[in-house]
Amino acid sequence: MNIGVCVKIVPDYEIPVDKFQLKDGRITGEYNELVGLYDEHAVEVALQLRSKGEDKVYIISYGREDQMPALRKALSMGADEVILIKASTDDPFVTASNLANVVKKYGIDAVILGRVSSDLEREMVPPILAGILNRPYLPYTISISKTENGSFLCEQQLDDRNLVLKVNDNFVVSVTDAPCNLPRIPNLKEIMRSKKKPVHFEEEIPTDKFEWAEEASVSIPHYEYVNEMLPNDDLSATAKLLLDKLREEHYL
Amino acid sequence: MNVKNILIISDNNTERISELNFIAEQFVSGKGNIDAIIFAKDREELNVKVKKIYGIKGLPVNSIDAVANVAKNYDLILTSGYVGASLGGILVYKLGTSCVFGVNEIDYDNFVFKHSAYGDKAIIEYKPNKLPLLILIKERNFEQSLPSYDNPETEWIDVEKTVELVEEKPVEKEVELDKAKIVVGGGRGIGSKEGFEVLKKLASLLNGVVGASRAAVDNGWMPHQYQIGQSGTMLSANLYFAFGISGATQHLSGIKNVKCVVAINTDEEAPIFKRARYNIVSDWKEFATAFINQLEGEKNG
Repeated sequence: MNIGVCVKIVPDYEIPVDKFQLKDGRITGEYNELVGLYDEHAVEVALQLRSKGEDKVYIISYGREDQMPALRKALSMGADEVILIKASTDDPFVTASNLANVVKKYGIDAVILGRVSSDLEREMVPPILAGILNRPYLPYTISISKTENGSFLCEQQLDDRNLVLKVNDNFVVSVTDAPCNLPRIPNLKEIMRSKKKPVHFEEEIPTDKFEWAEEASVSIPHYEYVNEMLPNDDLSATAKLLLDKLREEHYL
Repeated sequence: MNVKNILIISDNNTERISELNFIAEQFVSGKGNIDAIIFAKDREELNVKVKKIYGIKGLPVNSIDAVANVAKNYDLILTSGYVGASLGGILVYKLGTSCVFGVNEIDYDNFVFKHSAYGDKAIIEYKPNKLPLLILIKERNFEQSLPSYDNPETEWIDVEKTVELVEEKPVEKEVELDKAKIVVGGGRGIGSKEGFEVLKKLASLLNGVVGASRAAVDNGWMPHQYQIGQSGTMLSANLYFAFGISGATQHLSGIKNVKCVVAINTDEEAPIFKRARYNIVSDWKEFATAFINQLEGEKNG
């Protein structure tokens, strides 16, 4: 079985507010790039699903060639190969069309994505990809396992319950974080091995423009927070001081 | 844009439906039609009083064609939650509608839909140019208005069973984190399941509830329903204590609407200190213990 994990390399999502800048509506300036937060959990779900020696885990990314060092992280976790599609836009329909093209070309059976990208946070690509591929789509998935008769059990984590669904055909899932899919930390051997793993480059395919909405503006909101540092030399006194302040302001 | 026919797509949850209905009412202002597709566990009485209800007993994943067949007749489709996540993007693709996802604010007069990106560090405004339009909203960002149409008509729609529900695991306990006025949160710094027992004691003394960061939940110290942040719950608390929480972007998103944050962390540089009203540089447990002692001392007079 071929398992494909669609990974987006994103600007460091923990960049502090005071260093965050925009140019033409997108982040600019100095920042590191890394595998998206939920995409790492998606890689972990894929690795747990893989039967070693039988299945192959592809990392599929619609991005730039210079993002390969960040994509190696996914390989060093244990994925087998990278397919990098040279991207020209961050439009979700173009992205999904290009991912779908590669899914078909490489015969990917199980498609796994993170629930939301850690930059634009639109949550659009996974369901659109499922729509294009005409496959069942299961969001909020936390784990996938195979059954003896070749079908799959996907567990979804909802607010008030978990659902276990049985899927017989090829599928698309998006993954949310849970203790069972905490991303593994690559060891030195895997990091070294990842440098020799195959990378396939794919050209972008032409796609029709899908008019979904015009991006009218992108701005940085300014939140003003007043901070007060309380003393920490006598914590009992600090506890009393804090209680007094919270009561005075009617929070307690 | 002249919106006349609105379709709400939701599960049978009164709060979720009321939030979507509030938005729908702003668009039609008495002159249009609001109908709903409601997913229900059984052919139970549906918790919704809109003009026409399409009831579906089944999984969203099995209902795409049935939902698309109804939705194609509407100008505006409003959805949220698990149902919205399962169906929204596929409907947009199948029906060729315009769309905006993750909407947390709407300018009704100018037909502009706002969405937070980069962990709330940027706001993107979208202006759809055509109807039909599908809007997937980010829950708990809008007011609620309970639909109150007098004689709702209900039609049940049969759906396929391609994907089978084999097990449903209820969570141990329902936690109403989103409604709690006082929340005591713990993060990676708490270090263990046992650490949360201390926070639970403090929460009970304050008549509040316990919450946890993604790191604490992913480490298995607290169950998922206690998780605060992007993949957990958005708080609407007046008072939030952040013990051993550094303030990762996706956690700060979840406490955006909290009125007063108190942060306790050993790291003076922790981002949470920029968000909090009161900051204490301390070991979380030492301060929690001092705080508990103070509260218990007052109680015992």
